[in-house]
Amino acid sequence: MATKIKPDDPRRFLDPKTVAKINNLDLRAKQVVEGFISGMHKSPVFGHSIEFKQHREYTMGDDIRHLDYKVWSKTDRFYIKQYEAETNLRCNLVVDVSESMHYGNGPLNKYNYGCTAAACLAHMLLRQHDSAGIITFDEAVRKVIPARASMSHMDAILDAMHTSKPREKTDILSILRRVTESIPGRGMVVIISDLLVDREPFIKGLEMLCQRRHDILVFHVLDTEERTFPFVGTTRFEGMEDMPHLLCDPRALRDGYLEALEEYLVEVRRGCTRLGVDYQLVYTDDYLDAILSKFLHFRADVRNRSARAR
Amino acid sequence: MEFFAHPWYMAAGGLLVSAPILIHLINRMRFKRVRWAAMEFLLKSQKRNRRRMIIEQLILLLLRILLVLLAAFLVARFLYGGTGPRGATHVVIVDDTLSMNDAGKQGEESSSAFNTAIVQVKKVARNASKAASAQYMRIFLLSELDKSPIFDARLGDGSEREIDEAFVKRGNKPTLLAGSPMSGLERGQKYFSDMKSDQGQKFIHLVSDFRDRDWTTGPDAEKVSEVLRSILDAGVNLNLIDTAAPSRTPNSKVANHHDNIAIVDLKAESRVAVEDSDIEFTASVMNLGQAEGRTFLKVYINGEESPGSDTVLEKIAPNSKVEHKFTLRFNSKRKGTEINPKDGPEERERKRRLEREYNVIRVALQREEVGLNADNVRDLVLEVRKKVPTLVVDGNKPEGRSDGGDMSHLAAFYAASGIYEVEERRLEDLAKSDLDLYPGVILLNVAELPEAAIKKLQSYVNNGGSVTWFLGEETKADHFNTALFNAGLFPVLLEDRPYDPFAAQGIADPEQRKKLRDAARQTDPKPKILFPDATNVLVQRLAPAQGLFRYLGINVYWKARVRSTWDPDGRQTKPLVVLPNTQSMDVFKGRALSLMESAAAAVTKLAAKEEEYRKYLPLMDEYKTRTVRNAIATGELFALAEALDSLLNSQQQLNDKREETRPSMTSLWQQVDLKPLADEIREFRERVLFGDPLVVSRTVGKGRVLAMLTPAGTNLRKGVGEDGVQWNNWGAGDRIVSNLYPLFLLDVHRFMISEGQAPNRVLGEETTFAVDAARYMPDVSYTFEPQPDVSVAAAKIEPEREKGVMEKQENLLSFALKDVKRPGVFRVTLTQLGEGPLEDRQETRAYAYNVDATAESDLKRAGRERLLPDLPPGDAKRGKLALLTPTESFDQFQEKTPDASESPWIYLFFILILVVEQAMAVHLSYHLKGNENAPPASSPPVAA
Repeated sequence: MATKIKPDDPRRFLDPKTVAKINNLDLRAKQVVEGFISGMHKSPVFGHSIEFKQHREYTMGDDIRHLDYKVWSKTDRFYIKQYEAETNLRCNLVVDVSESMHYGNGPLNKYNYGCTAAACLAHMLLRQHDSAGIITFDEAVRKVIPARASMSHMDAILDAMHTSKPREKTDILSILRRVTESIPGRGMVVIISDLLVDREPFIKGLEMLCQRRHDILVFHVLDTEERTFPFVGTTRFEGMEDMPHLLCDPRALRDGYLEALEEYLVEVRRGCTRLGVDYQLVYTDDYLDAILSKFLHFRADVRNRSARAR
Repeated sequence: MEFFAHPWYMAAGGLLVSAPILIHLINRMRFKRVRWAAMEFLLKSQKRNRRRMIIEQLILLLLRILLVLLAAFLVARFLYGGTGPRGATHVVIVDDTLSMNDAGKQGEESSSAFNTAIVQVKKVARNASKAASAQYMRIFLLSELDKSPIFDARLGDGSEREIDEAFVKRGNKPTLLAGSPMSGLERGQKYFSDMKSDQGQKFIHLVSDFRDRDWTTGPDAEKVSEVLRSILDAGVNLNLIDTAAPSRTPNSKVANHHDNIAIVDLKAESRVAVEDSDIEFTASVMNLGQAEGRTFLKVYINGEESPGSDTVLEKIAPNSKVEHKFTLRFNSKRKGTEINPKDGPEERERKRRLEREYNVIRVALQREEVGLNADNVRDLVLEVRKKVPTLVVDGNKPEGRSDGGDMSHLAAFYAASGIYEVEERRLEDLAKSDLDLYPGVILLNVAELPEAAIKKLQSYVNNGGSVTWFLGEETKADHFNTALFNAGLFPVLLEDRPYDPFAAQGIADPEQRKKLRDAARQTDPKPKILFPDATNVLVQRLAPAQGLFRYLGINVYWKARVRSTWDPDGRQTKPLVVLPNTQSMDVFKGRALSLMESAAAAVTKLAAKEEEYRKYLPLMDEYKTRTVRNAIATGELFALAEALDSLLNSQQQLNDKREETRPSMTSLWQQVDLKPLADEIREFRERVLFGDPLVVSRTVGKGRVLAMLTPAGTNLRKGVGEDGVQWNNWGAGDRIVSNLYPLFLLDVHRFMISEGQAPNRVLGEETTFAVDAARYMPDVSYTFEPQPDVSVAAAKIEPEREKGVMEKQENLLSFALKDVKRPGVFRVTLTQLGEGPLEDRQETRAYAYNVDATAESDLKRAGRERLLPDLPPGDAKRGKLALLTPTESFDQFQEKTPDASESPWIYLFFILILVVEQAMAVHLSYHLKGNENAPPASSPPVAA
């Protein structure tokens, strides 16, 4: 018998069906990451794996245990034998919990959808012994849960996503700067947001993250109604997050709205592409498991291709 | 707002124009609230589309306003045809004449044309009262055109009831009078021409049965087009509403009518019957139906059925008349006082008045199921006298009153006749005489008449009396040509002096003239007088003996001027005796020959076409080459006339074996192609044969005047250029001619009392008479015995008794019977002043009133083309002429002026605006595009 989950229970974000669907997948970093335990991801440092990397001339201070005597016997020079090190992934989920994320027609609004996606990803990461952390934000960074690899860390992540009084977004650049500063070393950053912010500071924020060599994923969550704008009759649109109100006949503005939306999406997508950021637009009526599967497969393909290219 | 039939609708529409704006404003107040995240794009869209949206919304708003305006425009009915209703005046002429009694079946009940007319008048009033403007209606009855209208008011809600009451007051029945719809139309036209203020549109509605006689064949038919045109040209709309049964179908040119059999005339051979002598009556029964008719006729005398008078009139052909003749004999029941020779003129007149007695002869046909029954009864009043008195005035000077003088011949005649008696008066006493007592007045060789006598005679003749003139040497042509001719008392215009044919030939010697006259009588075989109309009462007994008149000598007479001067159309007078033509043959020769050429050519042409006429070719050749030419060669016009007579009238000749030796010329000329030519030859023959008129009659009023242009006497008198000449020898010439003279005088008297039906009138006619106030009491009593309905013929109707007082004018008491609307017999009893029992002083006069069957009984209806003739084009203001039937709604009288709601273009425009508005509304509203899905009703599941 299934246990009924309460609406304010943080575990509501962890949808078992979705988790089951993506359980056999794994999330890999596209580039090397700096982990603290050995794992499935390449480390920027040399380690003790069986994968030979290179020979290096011996210098003072090197551990003589790594000398390659075969080379010394042939060349009478000291070379040190170096191997690739493998580490675990440190992934930070940056989830937008601002007021605009709470728009949605039905039980799954953008906030719920985004949090569900974040929870699933965290669960998947922890299951593959990667470490996952979370940063939630609205007008400022609201909670920061550092990355941990323990499965018991999951509850902390879920707790962090739960919020009761959403607030508006203001300065996305400062928020992303804060995020950048709060993540030590290179790792993976997954941003889940509706991105209803100014484009320029957002792109700048992404650039900052890129400079830190983070592997960045952007899940752009929009509500179905924001895509179709199906309103009829005189309607007073009350802007969230300090936006003005507008009384209008929505039928008359629909085309213009969709056009502006499309421009915006193009601009965001283009900015992400330019920075090498993986961008995924999702709508709240999309099946989350399908979206995640598709996205993870896509990343795996990209990683394999880049490996072969090397 | 005056441009709209319903201006208030337009005002309301004007207010409604704001409805779309109000809806817009209300909608703005009623809105949904949506908290919206992606406001940025919405604001951007709003900023971009702001101007376009405002314009589009404004256009949509304007279109919707326009739609409301158009709807209001249609409902308010914009009057583009003019300035809107200006009111109308409806003059309704309702035909209430006899023919409107004709009833047709409407469902179970039968309704007369008049009852249908009432319904139609109310229908017009009902529809007209619905008009927005002032509508006035005046209803005239055709029988009361000179009176005020029976309804005269502005139409409103109660008008229909008032009209109903007006007709109920008149019994809801038509009269039995005759009347012409033309007079009704002229009354309507006069009404509008007299109208000073403009009361908008003008309508004349003639509600009638539109009989053929009134519109096509009757006396008023000629002026139909003229009357219609003058009405329409005056801008009056004329509606002819046909209420006769069966109903006229909208497009048929002719309309069916009911059959009818009517007594169109009842007359006695004499206006005055002599006691114990036979009088022949003629009842003319006409079948005015479309099928052969049969009816049953009865005769009543003074209300009692005449024994053995029942007659069945079988097989009366359609549109033909049957004359039923019957003879009756009357006895005077009144004990008159014998006239003593010693009685003075006044005493004689008094006694004559008391002996007057009238009998009522009534002829009735059986009742008809369809058609009119009022014309199935006809009355005749006949005066019965012991002897018929004739007033004679001798204008001769005393020396002229010798043997053979005018009076001597008449005295001999009266002495011998037994039924006529003479009452001789001096000329100066003529004005004092009670002429009404005498059926005829004879004036012998009178020089001139005093003014009073002329007036008296004029009145006498107009009321049915007869005056006969015998001229003589005393006659003053000037007086006759002016005073008497103008008064209608003398029928011709005379030359200035008497005419002697031999004197005219320049033979001045009286002796020579005498010899020539004798020679003419003895040797000339031609008759000296001729009878153009041998069937006339005056000459019908003389005409067979025409050959004997070769011995007659008309030596001197008053020559009439050319006939066109006294009878321009040749219909007013009737020459009954004429002299032979004395003109030269040269005058007629050329015409005779050319007519023969034409006749021969016509017969040849006919023979070429039809073989049976070939037998006439040799005969025509004989007439052309021999008979007529030989007659011309004799130089005798009489011979030419006889040749022409033979050409026209010679009968078939058979030999012993009954084989035709000579075909009938009468049959030849009956051929349709030859009839015009035959008429031409007949007329030419009369011109050839007939010379100066000798006896001429003229109908004046109800009476007649007769003029003999030569004296009654045969004594010697002043002639033309000789002192003693016998103007004619009819009364004292050869015995064979003089024997015919008393017959002529008898026929003159018969002529004077024949035909004229003085006491018999048709309804609507007025009867007036005046009596000497010194001889009569002013009180008068009279009875009216109405004609019975034929269905109750057996019932004896009690006479209605009335009393009155005669009106005194100077020395006369006058009495008038006016507005007689029911057929029947009036008996007016006057009482003479004096002593003695009242009965011995009372005299009675009777007058019979009948329906005018000639004018009203023919129910045949006028064709559509006759009622709606093609009139020459008029100006734009000309009124409209329409023929309406009871089946129509008459809603045109609601005074609808052409409005926008009648135009298809306005609807097209409306639809166009509607389509544009819808297109605009669709364009401005939210619709899914082809590749879009409708938004989900609820959120999708998170996992598939």
